[in-house]
Amino acid sequence: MKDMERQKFENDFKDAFEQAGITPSDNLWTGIELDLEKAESKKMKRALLVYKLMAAASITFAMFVAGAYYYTGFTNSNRDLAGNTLANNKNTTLPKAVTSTTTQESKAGNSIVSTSPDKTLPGNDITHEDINNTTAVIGDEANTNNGNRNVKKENTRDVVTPTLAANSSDKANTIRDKNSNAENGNRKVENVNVEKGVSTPALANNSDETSANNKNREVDNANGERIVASTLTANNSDKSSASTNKENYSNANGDNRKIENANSEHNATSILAVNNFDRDNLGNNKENYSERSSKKLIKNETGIVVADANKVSNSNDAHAVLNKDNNKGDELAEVSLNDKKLPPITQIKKIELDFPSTPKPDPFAVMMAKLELREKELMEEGEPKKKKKTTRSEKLWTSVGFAAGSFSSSSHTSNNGSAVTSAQSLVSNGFSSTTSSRVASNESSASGASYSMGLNLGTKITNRWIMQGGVNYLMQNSSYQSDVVVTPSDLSSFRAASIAEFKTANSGASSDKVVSTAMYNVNNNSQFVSIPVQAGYLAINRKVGFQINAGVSTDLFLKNIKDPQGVAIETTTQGRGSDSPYRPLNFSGLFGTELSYKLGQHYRLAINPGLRYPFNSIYKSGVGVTSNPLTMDIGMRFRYIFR
Amino acid sequence: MQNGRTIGYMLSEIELIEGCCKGNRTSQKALYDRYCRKMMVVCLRYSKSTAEAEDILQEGFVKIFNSIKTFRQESKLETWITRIIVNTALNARRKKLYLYPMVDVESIDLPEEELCISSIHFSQLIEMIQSLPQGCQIVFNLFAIEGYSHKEIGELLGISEGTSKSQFARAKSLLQAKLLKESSFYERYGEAKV
Repeated sequence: MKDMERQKFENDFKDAFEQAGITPSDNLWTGIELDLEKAESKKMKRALLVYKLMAAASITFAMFVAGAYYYTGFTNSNRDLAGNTLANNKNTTLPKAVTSTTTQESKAGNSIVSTSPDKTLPGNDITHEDINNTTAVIGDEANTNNGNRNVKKENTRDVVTPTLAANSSDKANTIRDKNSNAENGNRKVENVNVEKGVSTPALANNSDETSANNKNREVDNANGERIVASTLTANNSDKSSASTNKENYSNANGDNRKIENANSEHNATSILAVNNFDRDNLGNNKENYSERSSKKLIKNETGIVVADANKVSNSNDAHAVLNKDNNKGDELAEVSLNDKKLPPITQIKKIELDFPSTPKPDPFAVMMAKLELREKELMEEGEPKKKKKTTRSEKLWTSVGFAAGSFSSSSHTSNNGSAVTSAQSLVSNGFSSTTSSRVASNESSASGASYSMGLNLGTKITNRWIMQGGVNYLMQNSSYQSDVVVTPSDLSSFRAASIAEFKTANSGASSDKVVSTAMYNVNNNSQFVSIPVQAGYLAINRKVGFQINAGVSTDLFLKNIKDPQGVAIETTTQGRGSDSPYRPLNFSGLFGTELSYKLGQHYRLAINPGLRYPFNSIYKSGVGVTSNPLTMDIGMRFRYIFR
Repeated sequence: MQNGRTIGYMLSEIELIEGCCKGNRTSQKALYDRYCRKMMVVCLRYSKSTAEAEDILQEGFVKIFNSIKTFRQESKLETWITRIIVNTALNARRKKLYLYPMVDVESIDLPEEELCISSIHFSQLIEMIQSLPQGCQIVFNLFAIEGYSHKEIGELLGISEGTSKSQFARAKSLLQAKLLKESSFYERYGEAKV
């Protein structure tokens, strides 16, 4: 039939193309290669993303499990230690770290941190001390306040203001201020930009008898900055290095310190290092200097360390530094600077940007791109618009699930607000005896198994976020040991005591009394109705899903059943009444993850490990015992997806 | 390309398939060189221009390399490759077919004599086929050259068997008219040397 359809005409055509061949253009293979590489890179990216998400989820889950395990172990060990160590942990105070600098800290601004303990610095007096490295810090200008100092900065190159101090008395050293404010004891210290850094000003007194003392002082500026002013004193003796020449100063230990001031008028503190002064060169200053080996870091107002200040003075009446332009005719002290030019602290490197040359576009790639664009245009011309595939699948679902796990209680007794875990404290808390309190403690801190089952409803609110809630039935079983029973006055029956009965029995509030007996086990079963509300984040939303949930649950207490294992001891059931020690309504925090697998279009099976922790104790406030059991469980959930 | 073709012919078909399954570029190039010329003719028969044919060929070979792992060697490799190229061409043309659906055409009187096309070069035949209307071109290629029945063509293109037959008849008559014109041209001016 088929042969009849075909005639010679068709066979001729078929034969004509049998051996036909036309070579395509050379660029075609390049295009094929490009497409193949694109496809391979897409596959790799997808695989990498999945692996990354899985790794992140595994690490997160492992950390939470480890943290929960550590927390439960930590609380248990704390419970044991608290009773023994609580009495020893009263009123612990840390010793104050006292240094001379801390006592002298300015209110704000520059601070001096001493790396070695300094002597206290009394008053204004300066005492003789061997100074090898003295630093002088001259503060900057600031607004004067009462008791503050004004510092004015002078942009001079070669001058470091020295101070001359009279040697006759403790306060004989004069302070040279440019803009001294006599009112309220304000003083000004001129700050000088020193480019050459090392400055050990040598002063020459006008008079032969005057002696100058080298000091380092701290001067508080208006902003609370400490300004250490260096003062140089020179004796009239031959040893005096006081001279107006710069050459008289040299670094004793090679510790030249120099900090250049900023040229702004309101910044900077300049620090001058003064070296090599013998003790004999000092005047009879009574101020105490810090030890030679101590190094102090002086910070400017921006917190940057600007210098070492070996000398810190506690005096507020620091001897100011003279200004060579002092018009008052006071003795001028010229400071000679070291001729050597120190290298700058920082060298700003010129950054040259090296822009890469623009690469030439590959002609083949350009052509292929054009071909692809043309193809897309042709497709768009004839292709009907496809419906956009919705990504918001699984919008509404319901699920049924069950979970099993364990809980451990962190129990405390409350005694006027402080956590105390000792039998005696329980007694003082209203429990009838030490034995009763011990049994109550056993009951409240018992650990056991937890089971839950319930129905949930969930909805997707955005592409990655969901909300779900439901109703669950929660049961917690634990067992503890007891050696007391509660019996009426006629001893007609015996039952295991509840925590509330420990307080009321033997107190006259009830006719029942607590009596001791042999040790027996009690199975304690508490039942709740839990209404969880959780928000979830869909980390992976494919056939395999991974979700992180967190939320709050409202727990309604139903009943508690005590089933003693002893002979002739009755099983007791405690409801939600006013005499129940259990809190009728409680709130718990929930956290968990969900690993699921989609079966078909409408079903999803999930595994849910999770944590539950009640915000309040499961017992009422007046009971005297608190218990916040941490529950860790793992469950399965079967989900039906509506749409 | 010459070297690649040489390598392609040196390797056996099984070696080529194995190399392509592993993603070996050399094997892929060899496979391409071995079959690209023939498949280019297939693409030209289904397209209207050389550019369009090369697009179909490129897309087809990418599909071949991506799905060569599924080739079970139940048929010849050339047959399998040809089927993929034809399907790619049909997919490309199907978008255009949507705009110009095929309908039944009136019966056309076909000339009684059968024309001999052996003297005509295949490139001219390709031009004649490309000049056919879209639907006729596809049906003619599928029936006359690929060997599909009208029923199979109807299932492929989503048309009835009658439509397929009528489209083929029209294509045949148009081609015969062109061939007649060509042969009379040859008679007048001699056979074309290609």
